[in-house]
Amino acid sequence: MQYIIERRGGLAGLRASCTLDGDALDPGDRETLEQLLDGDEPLGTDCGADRYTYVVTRQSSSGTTTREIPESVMPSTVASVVTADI
Amino acid sequence: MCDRGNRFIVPMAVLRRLADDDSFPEESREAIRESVAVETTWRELRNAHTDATRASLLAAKITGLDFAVALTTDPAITVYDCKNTRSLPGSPVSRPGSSTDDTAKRAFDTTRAVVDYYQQCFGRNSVDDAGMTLMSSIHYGVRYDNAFWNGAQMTYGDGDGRVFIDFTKSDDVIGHELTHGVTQFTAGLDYTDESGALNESISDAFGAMFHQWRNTQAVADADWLIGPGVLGPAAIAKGYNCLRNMADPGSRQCLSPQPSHYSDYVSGGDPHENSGIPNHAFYLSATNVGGRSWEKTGKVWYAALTSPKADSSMSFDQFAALTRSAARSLFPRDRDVYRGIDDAWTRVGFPQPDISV
Repeated sequence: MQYIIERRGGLAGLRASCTLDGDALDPGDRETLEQLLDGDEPLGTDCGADRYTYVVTRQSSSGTTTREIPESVMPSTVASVVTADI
Repeated sequence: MCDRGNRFIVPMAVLRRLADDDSFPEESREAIRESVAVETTWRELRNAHTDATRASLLAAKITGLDFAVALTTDPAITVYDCKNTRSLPGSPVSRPGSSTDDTAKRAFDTTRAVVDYYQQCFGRNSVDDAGMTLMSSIHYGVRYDNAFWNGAQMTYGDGDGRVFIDFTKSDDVIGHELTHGVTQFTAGLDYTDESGALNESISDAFGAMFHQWRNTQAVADADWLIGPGVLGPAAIAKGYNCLRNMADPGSRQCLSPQPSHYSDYVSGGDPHENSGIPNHAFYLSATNVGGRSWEKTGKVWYAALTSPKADSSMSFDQFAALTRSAARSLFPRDRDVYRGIDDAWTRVGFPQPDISV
């Protein structure tokens, strides 16, 4: 299973992305990501301006799921892997 | 500026689910439960303040200048240290103005200067025009490459040291973030589509003007760059010199090049992308009018932002119309102001619909 994570927004408006192998993630972080991807409730958007938004795509043998996730909900260790590439 | 039906920084349903998940360590679950309690109370108070202030000013038809004159107390400025966590607001910094932490001192001093700028140039008392305490949190997260306004306060990361450095190091960035607060309490612009791009552009324009005001720069002497001081060594080594350039939004020296004409508007684009169009209109207006940006062009933009006719879903052409109207009403004997602003909007794709005016 793979997670393709794209970061949008922020003061700079600079896009960043990375691909993570599911097995490489901390089990707790992976569980949080799974809950966010599979949840029925709307995640909403973070208040204010210049916040990051993450578009997370899960690719597995059972299909592809994509969801937009506000930065306040993203596990910080996962978010920190996504760095700007210039 | 956010989903008001789900206004919490971390959606409550998600937090509660995580707090109830016994696969997490008890220590983590307890921290989440505490976050739910604190975040709910704190954010509700701040949002209630936003709503009440906007309603009272609207009901009383009080202008920014009137209100600032009525209130004599300067807004308090507080600085908090997140100590590289993502917990807001963090620990209070005592006497930030004389702190040995350069970031704390810079956040305090620059925020104070932004307060003076809004008071002296636009007659505005803090972001809410009612003396609201201005909170800044520094050292947010680990190598965090961003600064943001969360609807209640400013937050600054230290940068990764490669592409970005400390986000308090560009005073226009601090002016930019505080201006998001001003926009929230005035037009309340939505954060999508054209209104979202206007929201970002207004923060860039007032942030750039703040930098010029602080350095007593005339428009011809200004660099019109956004965030030159937050670029790290890797970005500088590659030839970048800013996040955005209001004079030349498409410049290859910008980390985030932007369109400068409405014909290049990116449908569904990020607010930071399409803000290049009104950014360029502001730059062209200011250079057409000349002098110091905050004395005429800035006053026109401020009048448009605070106009009772400004609404949260405002489009570019609606904002352009408000600035044209404000130019005529604020400077009836100085037709060059109207002509300069009219020409600027025309050049970015918004000609005056009524050419007889």
